Amino acid sequence: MIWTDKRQRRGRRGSTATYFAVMLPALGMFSALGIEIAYLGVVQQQLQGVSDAAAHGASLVMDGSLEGLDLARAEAKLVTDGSVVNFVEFELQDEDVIFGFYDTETLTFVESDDPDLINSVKVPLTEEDVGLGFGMAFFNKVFPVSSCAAVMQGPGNANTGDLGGNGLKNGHFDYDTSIAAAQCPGSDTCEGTFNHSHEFDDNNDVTYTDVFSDLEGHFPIDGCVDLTGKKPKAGACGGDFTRNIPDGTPFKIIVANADLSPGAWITINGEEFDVDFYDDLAFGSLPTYVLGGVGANSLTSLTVNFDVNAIANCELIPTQTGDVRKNTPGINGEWRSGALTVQYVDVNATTTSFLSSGDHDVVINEDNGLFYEATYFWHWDGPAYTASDATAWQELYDDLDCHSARFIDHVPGGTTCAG
Amino acid sequence: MRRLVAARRGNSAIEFALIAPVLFMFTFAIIDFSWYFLAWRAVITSAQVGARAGARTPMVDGPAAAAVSQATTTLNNSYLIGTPSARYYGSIVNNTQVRIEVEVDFTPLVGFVQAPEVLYAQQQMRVELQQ
Repeated sequence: MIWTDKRQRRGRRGSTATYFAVMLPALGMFSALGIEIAYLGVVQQQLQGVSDAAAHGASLVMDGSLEGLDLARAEAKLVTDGSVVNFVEFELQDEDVIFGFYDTETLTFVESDDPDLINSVKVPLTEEDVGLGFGMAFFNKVFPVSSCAAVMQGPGNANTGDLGGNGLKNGHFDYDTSIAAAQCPGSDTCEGTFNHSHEFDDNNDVTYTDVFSDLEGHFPIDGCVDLTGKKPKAGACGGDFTRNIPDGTPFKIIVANADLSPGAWITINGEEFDVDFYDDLAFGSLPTYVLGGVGANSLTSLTVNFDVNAIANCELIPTQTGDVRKNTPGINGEWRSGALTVQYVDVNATTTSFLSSGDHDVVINEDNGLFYEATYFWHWDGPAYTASDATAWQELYDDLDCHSARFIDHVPGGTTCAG
Repeated sequence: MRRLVAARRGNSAIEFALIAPVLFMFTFAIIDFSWYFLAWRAVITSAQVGARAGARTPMVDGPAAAAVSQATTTLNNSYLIGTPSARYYGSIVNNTQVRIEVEVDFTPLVGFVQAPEVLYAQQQMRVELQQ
């Protein structure tokens, strides 16, 4: 028995070296596999950089027109020009840039050629765009190299229903008017006569409001209540503007909360003013106007205009109708929950900084000289711009990646990129 | 002589001596390659993160400087020292793109594998706020 052990042990001399020699090719192969996979990871990362830059660049250029789509493709190519992937200069193809509509409710991307519908772009790339060598192509069967970036214009809006692409992009604004103003903040019973036009821009396919066109009844007013909460007779809601400013009565125009909605400008008698500029004018230096008659101070036209990308660029404040109507103070105490406000007031009106938070003073009610008031805001699906909702509002607004392209998918085969 | 041939003592040591160089070769190669790819990906990441930071910085605030700053921070977080640089390029419709290039002098941990002396990555993105 002992003899057998000795022979066995003698027979094992050099067995470790033999085993090692046998295993050496396998060890080498696995090492090569590791290196190849690590390198494929590098290629993948380089490819993702191309997808990101291309989709990002394209999303910032497309403007709702067919020509804009061509420009977007050109931008995608330009921004990736010179990118190196797998040691070769990458050349983006037209078909790599795919436009479509991203539905923020269902989180799905539907490819489209209709510029009115398009709000997003994605750039999926695969190993075919790279040209891997034979060895890497083999390993790529197991660990495929691909990339994708899907980018949506601006912040998007889960509430919008903006499928038709009318008016502002990525959402809509509500246009509310009042002749009595909110005299009792926070109360539903003190609204005054209040006209509410939901999705004003979408319904009328405009990016502006025109007080004189309003008088002609061109725009539907779908919510209208009087002081008692009863719905006035048809027609009573329109025409507030001139009904409350008799011909010949001098008045001034006040803009408030402009810093929260800098994507707007006001055009008075054909002259354009940034709302920020107009908001900063002292009451005493505001020009005086009258309705009717002729002369330099006769107001003949007035529009409040918005950049078509005002929502996408977060240059129009998002909040909720109820809080604007009730005049719930904004996060910093702003008038009408921070909605962009245009007031038409008596030249001798008493202004107050109450709830105005550093912006232009406002006139708080009829007794102080308010004739007519209009408010504009992005009606979104998120919280109101109020102190009680401040944290949620801020978090959601920040999360929307304001003023920028919004990456919605980075994962090849992810929800959006697979669509 | 017969005793010497029959001796089994030190057998394992001799086998180890034969195998060790190859084993160490693999070990050093694994270390070098791992560090090489780790550093390379960190350089690419720093370029991509820097470009994104530049793209999100308004023109008036200097996207190039923001890109360089962010790329440098990202490199430092990976224990790499490099020299990111950024330049502006023209874009469609007269706007601006920012391109960042990152170069890092690469030093292998062991030096067994002949790796490039400089790791390089670039990323270009359109500046979102042109004004």
